[in-house]
This record gives sequence, C-alpha cells and structure tokens, in this order.
Amino acid sequence: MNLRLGKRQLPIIVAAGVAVAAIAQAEAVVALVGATAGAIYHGVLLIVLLEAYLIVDGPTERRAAVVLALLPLLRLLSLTVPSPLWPPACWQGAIAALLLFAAARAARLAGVPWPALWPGRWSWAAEAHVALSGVELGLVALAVLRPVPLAGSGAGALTIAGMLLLVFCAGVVEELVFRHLVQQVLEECFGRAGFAIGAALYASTFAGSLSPLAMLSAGVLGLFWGLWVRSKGSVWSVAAAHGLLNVILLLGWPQLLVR
Amino acid sequence: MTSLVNSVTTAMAQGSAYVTLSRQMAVVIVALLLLLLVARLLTEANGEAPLAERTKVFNLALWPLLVAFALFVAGRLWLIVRP
Repeated sequence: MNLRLGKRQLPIIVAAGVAVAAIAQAEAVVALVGATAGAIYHGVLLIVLLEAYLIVDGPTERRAAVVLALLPLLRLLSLTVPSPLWPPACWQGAIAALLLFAAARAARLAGVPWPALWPGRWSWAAEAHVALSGVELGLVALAVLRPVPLAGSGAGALTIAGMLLLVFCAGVVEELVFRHLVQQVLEECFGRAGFAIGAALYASTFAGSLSPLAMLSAGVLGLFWGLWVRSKGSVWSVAAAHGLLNVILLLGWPQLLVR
Repeated sequence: MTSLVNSVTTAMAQGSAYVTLSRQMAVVIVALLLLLLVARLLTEANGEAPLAERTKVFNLALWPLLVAFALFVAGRLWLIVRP
C-alpha cells in the first residue's frame, strides 16, 4: 500500500480521520457513559464542524466538515425527540424529517447533487434485486437480533400504514445521509478506503443499541450497500432495501399480519 | 435496522429515569442552541465569511434542533398536565 502523501493530502486525511474517530468516540460515550455526556460531546463536535466549514480553505475540507456535521446532529435529534407522548414509529419519522431537512441544506452547501433516479451502471433488474434484498435481510435480522417490535408499543395511536411509511422513510433518509453524502466525502478524503471507513462509522452509530451483534450486522450491511453504491449502483435501491429491512425488523411485520 | 433510535434513546424515553434524564438533556440542548447562536455572532464579528453563508451553515443545525426541542417541551408538558 502506497502511503506516500502529497503536501496537500496529509492534512485532509488527518483532519477527516480525527473527525471520524471523534464521532465514533462520541457514539461510544452515549452508549457506555451516558446520554447527557454523549450529547455534550456531540454538541461540541457539531459546533466545531460547522465552524470548520467556515474557517478551512479547500473545497474538499469544507464539504467534509459540513457533511460530517450531520452525524452529531443525528444523535442530538435522536436524544431529544423520543418522548412517551408519541409511539416510537413517530420518533423515527420526526427524526428522519428533521435530518432530511439538514441533509438537503448540507448537500447544497457541499455542492453535492441529489442522486440520480436512473440506475448508473447496473440494470433495473439488478437494482430491483438489491432493493428487494431488504425483505430477505429483514427476515434474517429478525431471526438473529430478535428486537422488540415497535408495533407493540403505541400501535393504537397510528395506523399500520402510517407506521410502515414512517419506518420505511427513516431507512431511506439514513441511506441518503450515509451512502450518498458521507460516503462521497469520505471517498474524497480517504480514496478507495472511504466506503469502508463510512461503513465503520455507520456501525459505530449502532453503539447505542448496546448489542455487538447489531453493530457487526450494521457494519456488514454498510460495507455491502457502500460497495454497491461505489460500483455505480443507485442509492435509491439500497435506500429501498433499508426501508424494507426497517419495516420487517422494527415493526415485526410478519407477526403484525398474523395478528 | 436504524441508527436514528436505539436502546439508549428508547430507554431514556420509556424508562423511569425519563424525567431526570430529560431535564439534563433540556439543559444541554438549550446550552447548545445558545452556543450555536453565539458562534454565529462571533464568526459574524470576525467578518471572515459572508453573512448569508454563515446563516445557511448554522441554520442547518439550529432549525432541526429548535423543532426537536419544541417537541421535547411538548412531551414534557403533556407528562405534567395529562390526567
């Protein structure tokens, strides 16, 4: 592996590496130390990254700063929005909507266009296959991780269709943030390793699940989906796969139909 | 599978420690909102970046956090006033 770096490359790699490590560390603080300490850490990171966007010179550095700022914001929203007042599916929908607003603004500031709807290198059949793999992945994850279905808590306040939509959209927004925006800036900073670092960062955001198996699964899925997007596959197909996986895993959809 | 809501946040909202934790979280979020506003003003005073750009960057975080905080306050108020 050639580690010779040009004069301009080294600071980007170091700065982006420190930012990625700090975000992962803040996720560990949320999981292992406490929500308040983690929120303080994420708050400091958010301000530093937004300031960095204004202060640094290079376009790559600026893009990386504003896009990576979405991750501390994601966690701060997820620590603030959940409330006993609303069913958990609503938390997902509210956080996803607020994050989508921030992601749209970050994408505009970073000069990253929205992903094309039309598949890049692959055919519609291949894209559809990836999208529908969310069903298989969801059933496997349901059998392995055995989460408590969200449908069981506060289901009366929402229709099943509403919950399906909210949870599906949460998966789509996550993919737009992680596989479209974050992966793109990490590939600019780290080259080919960017998608793997993005997958590791994605796995670190599952530290709050307090389940090493969930983190490992997220890392593997992040690698697979990241590789697909990197090989000119469409972000929308992995977004659909993630949405379907959410519907099955979080709502325990098969059980919901049997009731 | 989602990173948006996890065991920590679910336990926070549904567990018996919700009131204590949410009070701490309220302090953190209010402090953060104030810091974001101050950071925007300080950067503005330095005059290093155009005003419109600074506003765009900080609004990216300010608006979602303000809405989240409003939802949070609504949740707390409901817990206090519910029959």
